[in-house]
Amino acid sequence: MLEISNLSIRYGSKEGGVRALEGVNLRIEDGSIFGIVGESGSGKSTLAMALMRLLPKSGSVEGGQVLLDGQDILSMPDREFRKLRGSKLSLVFQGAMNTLNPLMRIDIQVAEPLVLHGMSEKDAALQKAHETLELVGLDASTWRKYPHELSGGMKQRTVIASAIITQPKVLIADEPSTALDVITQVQIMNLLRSLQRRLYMTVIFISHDFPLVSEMSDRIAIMYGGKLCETGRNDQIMHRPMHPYTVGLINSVASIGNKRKLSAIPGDPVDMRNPPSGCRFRPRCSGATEKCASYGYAVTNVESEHDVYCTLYGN
Amino acid sequence: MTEEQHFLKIFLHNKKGMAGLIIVLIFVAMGILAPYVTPYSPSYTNPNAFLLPPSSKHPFGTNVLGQDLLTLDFYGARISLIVGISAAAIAVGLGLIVGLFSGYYGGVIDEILMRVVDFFIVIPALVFMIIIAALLGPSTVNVILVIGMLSWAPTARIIRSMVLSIREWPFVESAKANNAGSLYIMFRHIFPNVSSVLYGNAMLAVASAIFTQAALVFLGVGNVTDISWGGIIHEAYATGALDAGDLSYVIPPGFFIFILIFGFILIGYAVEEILNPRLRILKRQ
Amino acid sequence: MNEYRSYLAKRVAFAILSIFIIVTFDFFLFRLMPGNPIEILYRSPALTPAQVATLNREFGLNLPLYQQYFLFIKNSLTANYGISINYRIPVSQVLFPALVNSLVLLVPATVLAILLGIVTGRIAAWRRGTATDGFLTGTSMALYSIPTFWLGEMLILLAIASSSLPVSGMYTLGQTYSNFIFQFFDLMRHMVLPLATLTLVLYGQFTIIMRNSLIDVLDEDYISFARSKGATDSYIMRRHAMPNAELPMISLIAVNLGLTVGGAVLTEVVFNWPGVGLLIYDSINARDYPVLQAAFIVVAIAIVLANVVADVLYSFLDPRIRYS
Repeated sequence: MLEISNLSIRYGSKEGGVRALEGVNLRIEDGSIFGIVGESGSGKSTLAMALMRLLPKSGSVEGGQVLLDGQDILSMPDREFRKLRGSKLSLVFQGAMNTLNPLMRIDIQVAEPLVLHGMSEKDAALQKAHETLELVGLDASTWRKYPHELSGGMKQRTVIASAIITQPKVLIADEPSTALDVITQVQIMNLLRSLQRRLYMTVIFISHDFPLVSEMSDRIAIMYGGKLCETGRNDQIMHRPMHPYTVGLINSVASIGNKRKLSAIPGDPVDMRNPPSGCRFRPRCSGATEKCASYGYAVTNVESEHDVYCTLYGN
Repeated sequence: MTEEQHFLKIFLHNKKGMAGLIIVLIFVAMGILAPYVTPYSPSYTNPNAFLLPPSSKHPFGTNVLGQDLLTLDFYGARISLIVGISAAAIAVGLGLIVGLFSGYYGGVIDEILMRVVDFFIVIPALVFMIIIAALLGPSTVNVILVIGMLSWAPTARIIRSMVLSIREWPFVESAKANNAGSLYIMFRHIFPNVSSVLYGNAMLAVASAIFTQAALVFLGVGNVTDISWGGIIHEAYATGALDAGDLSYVIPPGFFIFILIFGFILIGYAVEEILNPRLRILKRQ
Repeated sequence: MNEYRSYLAKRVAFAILSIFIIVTFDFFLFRLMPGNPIEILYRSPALTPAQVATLNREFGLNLPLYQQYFLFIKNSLTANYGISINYRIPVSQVLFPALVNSLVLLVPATVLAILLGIVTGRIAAWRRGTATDGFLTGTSMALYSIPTFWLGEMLILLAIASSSLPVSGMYTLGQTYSNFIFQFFDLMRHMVLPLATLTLVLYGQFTIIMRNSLIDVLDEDYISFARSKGATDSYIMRRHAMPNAELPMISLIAVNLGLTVGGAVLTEVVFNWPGVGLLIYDSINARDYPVLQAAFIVVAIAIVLANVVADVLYSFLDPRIRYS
């Protein structure tokens, strides 16, 4: 169980900086795929980096906590956390192109987490790396190759192999397929899903691609401007969307056999250096009222497991 | 605000760059004002007052001919700046032309020009210059030409790599579609986009030309009749003043070369820092 | 693998072409100069009639220019550079011992400067933006700006003032050594100052190259990727950042060899170190053109060959070239 409560992240100083994440609360059950959707600047990647404690130097945790099986992973010492990073908690990077060290054989790079965490000796780790590469669909002819000899999809499989080799409890996949062509994208998604079932991992799947997230995830959180809009089970979000932003997202997606007219959400993405008061989505929202300008992001539980952050509901 | 004005604005806030600019301006002033601030005429010799130690009349002492060293050290700024800037202008100009042609035309022209560049980068320029300067005979113009003709290759390589990417930009494509001439496109459209890199490179070229000129004169193959810092050091070395421990003879001219080169290097480095954001030190917000 | 072979073949072909151009340039430079110094000198009374006869036979000084050119190429490749006007012995007997002396100074200085540069460049990059970085970058730029000959002279002034170390030559003049160890010790004492001079002027550029290259590498995704696996900072430096940052160093070191040699020439002159640099300096003053002509060819060819070695080394270390 991963519990994120009231998490806020800031880049830069109090005066000049940007609050990239504000008051985020999420409960992520073991063995499920949890999807997080948002456009760029929504804070979804900041959330991923915060969970891995890999924020850039200018980023800092302003408040809140993250409990992994009851253990607060944000307040533990670096040295302690490093034992979890890459073993119990793994990250699949976005953008497959430059994620691998060009000077190192891929099987060695896949084996690295095992050696770093003292889980096996070098030879055994390499053996295990070959098994894992096989598992993600790369055959023996590729194991000893260098990154520049692989296609984009093969590189992404390598990155995934290195993330799962330690059989992590939680796998964070941040835009794992964005840089790839459509066919490869589908293959990578199927691979992630089958690995999740096989290894009983918790997968946090982060993407700007709403249809992809809805296809993959058991539960979905929608983010906008560093804050949550709505969280719920997949069917709740897809069939009974509550937040105007969620509704807008669903309406802007074309799906086969759907005759409804496509409509884009009007307005520009939020300027995080100078965010609007109250609800961040207010300037683009057709249902905005005066109440929204002073909205304090109170959560409304509209049905079991379905939460929404909007003045249209509750008080 | 044009790109160049924007660049200038950042530059004026760069500490290294400003420090370098101030250093260079001080030496420019030193060269220009030499006749007004120095106590003697540079051609004034006094056979009775040779190799004097520093005194209130001669703060740096005198040389073998009895000339006032302080005066000579001030006048020395002129040759360093003139040779440095003219040789660098030739080098950067040649490098720009070769780089533009090589990058713009690509193909066989590029291949040939780049092999020529490789050749000029690899050859031991100073050894080359010593021999050519020795054969051509000592004159400041020869020194400028030799340094300029042998120092253009690094600039050509950098400009070429920039042109390679710029020529794919839409505005170049559209200029081609409008039947603009190649030379027009190169100098009108591509040149403005490489100019700031060129400035940074030019500063490093000036620094290296100042050093080379001083080195050639020190080795006795430059023009030893013009007053120059390298020449003063050469004289001190050749007359044994160095071995006699005559500090005020050797220290000031070398120190001036050092600081002037340092000034140009600082400016060049600042330009590079501004253009490559990764090198720019992140401001703590 | 085939592409790798053709890459190497291309580099070697370029090296051969470069050597050919150098020899050609050298031939015409010394022959088309006003007064054709080579021809005049080889007819000078400084040489014995027998020597002049040998030169005429080997270099064909009475033959047309193009035939002289072919003879010159043939002679250059067999290390026959004629006779030194100054020393009156074959040039190769003057030149090659000097070349050895130059290498005795140049190789340790370059190696030392590179090692120091890697260490301080790494510290500066890791602490970029701090006072440490400012200090290391600042001193590197200052050392890079110091004129080689002047730095050497400053060290000479210090040594004279403290009368601590010899400031001239490779060995104490007129000294005979009872065994090899004493000779070696004397050499070491003479080497301290020139070695320090050359190392210091070379050190600055390597620090800055290393720092900037490492800063670029530390921004790469594969560094974050390694961190996400649970790697420590020192492991990331050792296994991921340094190998990638050192790679461009290799080609830059090779490319800068020309500059390095320039620094060595000046250092040799200042400290009277009997290497090729001092030989060139003396030969200019003595108008010993055969030696100059040969020195130029030998130094240039040495640098071209060093670049081929660097290319091979680079391709061996970079799988992107090795397996493509």
